[in-house]
Amino acid sequence: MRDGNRCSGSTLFRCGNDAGSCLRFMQTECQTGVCGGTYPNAACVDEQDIGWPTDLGSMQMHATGALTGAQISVPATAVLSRFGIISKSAGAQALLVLYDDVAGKPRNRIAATSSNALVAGVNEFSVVLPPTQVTLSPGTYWLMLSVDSDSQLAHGTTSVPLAFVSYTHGSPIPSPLMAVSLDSMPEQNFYIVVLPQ
Amino acid sequence: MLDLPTSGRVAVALSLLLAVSAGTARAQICFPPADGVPGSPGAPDWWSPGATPAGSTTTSFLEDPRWRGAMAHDVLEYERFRVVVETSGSSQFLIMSWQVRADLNNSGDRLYFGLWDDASNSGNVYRLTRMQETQTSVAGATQAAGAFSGRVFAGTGPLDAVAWSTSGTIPPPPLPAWLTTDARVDVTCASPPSTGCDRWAFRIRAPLSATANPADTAPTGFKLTGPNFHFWYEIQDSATVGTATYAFPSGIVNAHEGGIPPIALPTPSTWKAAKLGSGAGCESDVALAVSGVWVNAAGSSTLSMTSNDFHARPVNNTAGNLFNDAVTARFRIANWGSVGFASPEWRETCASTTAGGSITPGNPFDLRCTWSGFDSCPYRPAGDPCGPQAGTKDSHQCILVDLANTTGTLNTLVFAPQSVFRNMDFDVNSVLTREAMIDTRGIAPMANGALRRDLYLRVQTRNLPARAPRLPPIGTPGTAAPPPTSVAVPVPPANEDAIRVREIAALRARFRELQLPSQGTIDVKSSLRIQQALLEGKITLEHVEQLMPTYTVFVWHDTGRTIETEQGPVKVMEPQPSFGLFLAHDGDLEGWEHRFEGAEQVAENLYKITAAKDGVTTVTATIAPKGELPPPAPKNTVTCSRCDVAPRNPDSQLALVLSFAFIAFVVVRIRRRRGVS
Repeated sequence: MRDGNRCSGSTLFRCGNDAGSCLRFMQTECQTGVCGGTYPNAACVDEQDIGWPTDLGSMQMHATGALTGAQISVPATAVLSRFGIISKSAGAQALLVLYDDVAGKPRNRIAATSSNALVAGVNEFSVVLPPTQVTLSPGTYWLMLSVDSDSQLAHGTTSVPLAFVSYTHGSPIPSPLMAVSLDSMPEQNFYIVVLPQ
Repeated sequence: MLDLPTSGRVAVALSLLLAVSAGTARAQICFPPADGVPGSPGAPDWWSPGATPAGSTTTSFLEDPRWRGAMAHDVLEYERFRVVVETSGSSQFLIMSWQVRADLNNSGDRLYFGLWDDASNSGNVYRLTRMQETQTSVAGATQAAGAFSGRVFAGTGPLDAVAWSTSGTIPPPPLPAWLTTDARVDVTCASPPSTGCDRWAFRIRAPLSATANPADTAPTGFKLTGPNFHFWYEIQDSATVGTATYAFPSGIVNAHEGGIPPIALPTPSTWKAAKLGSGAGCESDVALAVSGVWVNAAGSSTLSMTSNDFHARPVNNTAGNLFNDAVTARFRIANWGSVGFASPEWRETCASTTAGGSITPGNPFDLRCTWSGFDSCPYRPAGDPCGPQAGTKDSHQCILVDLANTTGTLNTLVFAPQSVFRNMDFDVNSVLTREAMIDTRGIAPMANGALRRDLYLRVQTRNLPARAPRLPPIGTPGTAAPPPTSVAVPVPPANEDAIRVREIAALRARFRELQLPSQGTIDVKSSLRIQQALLEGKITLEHVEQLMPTYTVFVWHDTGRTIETEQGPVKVMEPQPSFGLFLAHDGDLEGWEHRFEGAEQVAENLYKITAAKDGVTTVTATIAPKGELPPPAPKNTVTCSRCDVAPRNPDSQLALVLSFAFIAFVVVRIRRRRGVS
């Protein structure tokens, strides 16, 4: 084998000369379970956050009774791992849902969490709907949120398009979404975690 | 008298471009009471259960005759605002409509409108976002049906330093009930394959209330505690190529949400001062409509080659008599196309001369002048022996009228602030090729100093289907041809053709006096009856557009300015005059085809020109019955109706040089053979 990296399943094989010009061969099991790329540049693939995962410093009051959300862009095919949100308060239940984009609005449900209690700070929730692995194609999606009581959530100050639709927290998650309204809101600290393929 | 054609192939033109220049602007506009019309008093009512538009020829609440007397503001032919004041018991309401006649691109468009109560130094701005994208019924679509969303902004502080706030709750609080229950969105989609759903409107009934609290998340109406207020609106028609804005008053800063600061609204001191009522003290002492301008014969814009009598008949809107010579009119003309009002293309003709007598309230002036002794050669057909300039201008001209207080008088009359604009020709086609001038001269320089600017041209068609709907021949089982001018059209099989034929027959039957065929093309004779009815004021140009094949080109130019949005800065575009054609055709046809040349196509029916900042570009529209559309002009050739401004074709210049060289060569050879030295 020449110098370079190669994947075999979720295992990364690395081959190269050390400082003493001795040929070395190493084998690594990728922690994320995904080894990607082609020889000689193969590497273990890390998870990526898509959305606004870093606390932007401001907060906004979110009212119950609606699904609200913003557009996110998935740059390459990826498996959806988790949903994330940063809260400024604890206690409320939150539900996060990912919809596809049809004509600039959220339309068909792709995946969702269950309703989970928020803690102050970073919250990450697993995907429960559908129960099977969700692979996202590159494109635009809508990350939507519902809370069961009015809650202070982390936001930035730069406006982005907001989509919202009436929804009673705890009722079945609607799909397709109809009568979606558009407005604007400051960037919200919520995101998805994906594993590029 | 109308310059009617002598044969079925001759066009009759009505090409009016008219702008009314305001005199010294008076401080206030007036929102007049809704008087309605005889038999249908009050305001257009779309909110009562079972409400229908008034009038036998009315197909929408926007055409409702009860808008009569409304305060109106037009941005060329692109957008129109109207308002009347409805009194119901002790309550008053603003009955308002905004119509966008040339949508750039899908939904997401925004309407901002605000009323500032001068007495309490408080007010609200509402921002509504149109989400309705599909054709609506006559009733229109409601917020509950997802037709629009919105947000309320509350303002407090002195008129020139207002602080605006809005609920930061996500999602925004529900809109007030008067918007959720009484507001409507209309969307109009042309028949395929024309330009889709390209017209829309908001209709709003807004309560006026002394007790309304602007700071509420859902105010019960516009707070109004005194006689005076300020009013403003702005429409932002968003598209991928930029955002077209229409505002009243114009020329003030654009509203924006996004960027820094995240919300910015124009300060109410820049809004239009207004009051409720009508009559003395209101703007528009004198108003002029498109039907009140002509040359030589009522409704005509066709020049005579010898002498031309221009007329303008503005109406005295004041409560008292006005001297006939209190107002003067200046007449200018220009070729068919999109020519800005400040362009040098406009040719001076004459100004009205003074006349004696007085004009009583509600009656029209007759401002007239004669233009003669001009060089008519450019307006004569190409090839005319008058000279090489023949055919460089069209005898059908746009007419621009400026009204002014007569010099030397102490009059301070205020002329209607609305600009009334038409640049539509009637024409007849088998194959029709028309050139149009797109003129950017006189437009304000690009705000960013650029030497070139982009123009976007939207071709909008009505009743120009690629395949004309038709019923199977009479006798085909289950079908019957609809009887002429009858609403009671037999219901044919439920297919698209049959539905469309039935719609056309029902529409034409509304205009019985025009004696239109119940189906098929509008022939030349029908077109003449339509034109005559238009001249007599029996129908409007909007009606003509519903009845006849119509081809209109809307033009916007880049201003060099940007506004901030949630998606970042976007280009601000402003409209310039549109132009178009009403078409008649004798005989049956399978359908229509059309082509637009001289501009780069950037989307369906959307074209782009990148022009010098003070430039003239010629574009060509060709419309033909299906199968008869001629091949496109070869590239690198230029056809033009203004060879004084169009570029020369280098290929043809080369050909000319080679031709001369060949002729010289032959002559030399002949002379040599003949021994001529």
